[in-house]
Amino acid sequence: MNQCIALNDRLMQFVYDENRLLDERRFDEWFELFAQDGVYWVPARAGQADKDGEPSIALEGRLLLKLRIARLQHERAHSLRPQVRAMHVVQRPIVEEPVDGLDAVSCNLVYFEYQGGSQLVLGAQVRYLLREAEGRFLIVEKRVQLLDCDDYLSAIQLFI
Amino acid sequence: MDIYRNDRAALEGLVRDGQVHRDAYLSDEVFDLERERLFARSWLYVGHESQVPRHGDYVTVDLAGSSVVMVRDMDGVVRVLINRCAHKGARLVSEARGNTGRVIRCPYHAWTYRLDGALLAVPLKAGYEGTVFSQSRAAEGLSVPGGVRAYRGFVFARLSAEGPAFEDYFGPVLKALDNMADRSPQGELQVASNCIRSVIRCNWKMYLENVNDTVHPISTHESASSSARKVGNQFADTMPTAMEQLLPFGSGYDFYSKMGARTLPHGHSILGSEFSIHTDYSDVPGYREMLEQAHGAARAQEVLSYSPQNVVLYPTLAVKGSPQILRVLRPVSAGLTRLEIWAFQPKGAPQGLLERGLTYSRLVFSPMSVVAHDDVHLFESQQKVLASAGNPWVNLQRQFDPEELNQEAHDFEDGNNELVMRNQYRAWLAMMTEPAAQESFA
Repeated sequence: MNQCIALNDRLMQFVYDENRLLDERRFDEWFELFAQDGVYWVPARAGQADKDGEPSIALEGRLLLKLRIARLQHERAHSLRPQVRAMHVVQRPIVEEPVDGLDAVSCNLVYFEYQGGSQLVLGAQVRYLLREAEGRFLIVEKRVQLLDCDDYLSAIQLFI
Repeated sequence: MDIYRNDRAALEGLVRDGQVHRDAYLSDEVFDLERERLFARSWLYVGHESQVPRHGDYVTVDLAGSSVVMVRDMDGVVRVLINRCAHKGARLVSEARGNTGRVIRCPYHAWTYRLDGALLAVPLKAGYEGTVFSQSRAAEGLSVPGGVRAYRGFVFARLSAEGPAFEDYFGPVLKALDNMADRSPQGELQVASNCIRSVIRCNWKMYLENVNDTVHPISTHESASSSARKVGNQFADTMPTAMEQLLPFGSGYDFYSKMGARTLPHGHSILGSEFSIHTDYSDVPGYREMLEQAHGAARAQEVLSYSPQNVVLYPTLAVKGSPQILRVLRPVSAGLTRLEIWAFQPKGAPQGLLERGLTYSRLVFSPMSVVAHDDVHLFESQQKVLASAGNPWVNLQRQFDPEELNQEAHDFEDGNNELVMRNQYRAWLAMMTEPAAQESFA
């Protein structure tokens, strides 16, 4: 019983810590949270179950995540001038039933992205599938289900 | 106050020797005129027949300010109707997609229509007997566009009753749609289940100019292409498709100077008639053989070797035949443009082809695309600062030759020639200076 509570607490804490890394722009550390087969996924429609065979707004493994992070640090990434700032407001995470042997935890999120006088606000439900290895969790899938995923969206420049 | 509506000379003054005046991008009045004179009378892309496979299947689309329904009628014909009840103007269907059943029934007062728009039934029918109702617009049923045409599965509509016929309007640029359809051994495409949508706070013409802009990638997209090179080396053996699609964004001016281009009447163009950044995509195993069997070796080679950078079906459609993608512009106002990215699977061909288009859509066009971010940022900056004091002109004069105005169509080698953009404004001005009839819609 205690072990179970301890696991739930650790999973919830993982979600808070992961979002904090993004807010603090610690992208290289955030990248290391992803398993070798890990993906960051933003579906293009509500209820989308498949990553293949239909469009997604983002679907990135380690290579493309690394590329995105490298670009964020590039001196000629024009769209990042003036600086873009993000804030993740995380609702208390909920530990879900494991999926294919992976720990699952989800949370509701309000994401703010601000640049040069305009602010973007997005609501999302985020689900993490995590694999425990050497005493820490690695992300196998971070799925960001945007409330308005099938609307015409303006540019989202940082990681939700 | 109207500055342009009744002043032909003022409109003509917006385009001068390959320069475009900022009012063309910023003025609300000019945008209103574009709706009446340009969008209403040109052929706009509505959707693809494969979006509505069964009787009663429909999708709704905003077409230059008109809400329209594309629906498959009980006889199998795909129709386009104005999504407005003939009675009091309520919207008939509100979902982005669905199935109407055999009839369309207005949720407000239960007026009922056939799927061709004819009025089928109204409640309290006796109350109209002996009245002037039979002579009213309502009795005619739903409004329909002035023209609807399905071409190789691609459905277009011309909102106005006036304007050029479909084949006259598009002419040889239809070859790009033939090429897409013939990438299927069956000659038919299946559109992906949905599209990627984005909204850009810029005028639609800025976006459409950029579709033909070969000189921007090397500077605009430097951060994306150089990051791709750097990271690609670290992950040499993974995601070959992504690398194959991103690395060409680092191509230089020389590359584009030999790609070939063609400009056509009505603003259409083919950029990369000889080759493009899409030419060297790797073969999908078994695909070429399938096409050869279906179309013959010569046609298969012709289809596969034709991969322009972008084909513009003016004013709102850009085609990428090789990754099989349509970009559809849905202009909302002078300063707001919606964009839809549709990927296609050629029926009967390997599934890898759809994945290629979906990958390209995400990497290059999605709201989270690291390539599109820099484009969007710059278009939006244009929209913000064009009104600043001083120079009011956008300059499109690279390789401008006054003689080019004497000829309707042009073939040339150098894709860096801004004639591919000037040609859009030639068509724009021709339509804009021609007043529309009082009543635009049938």
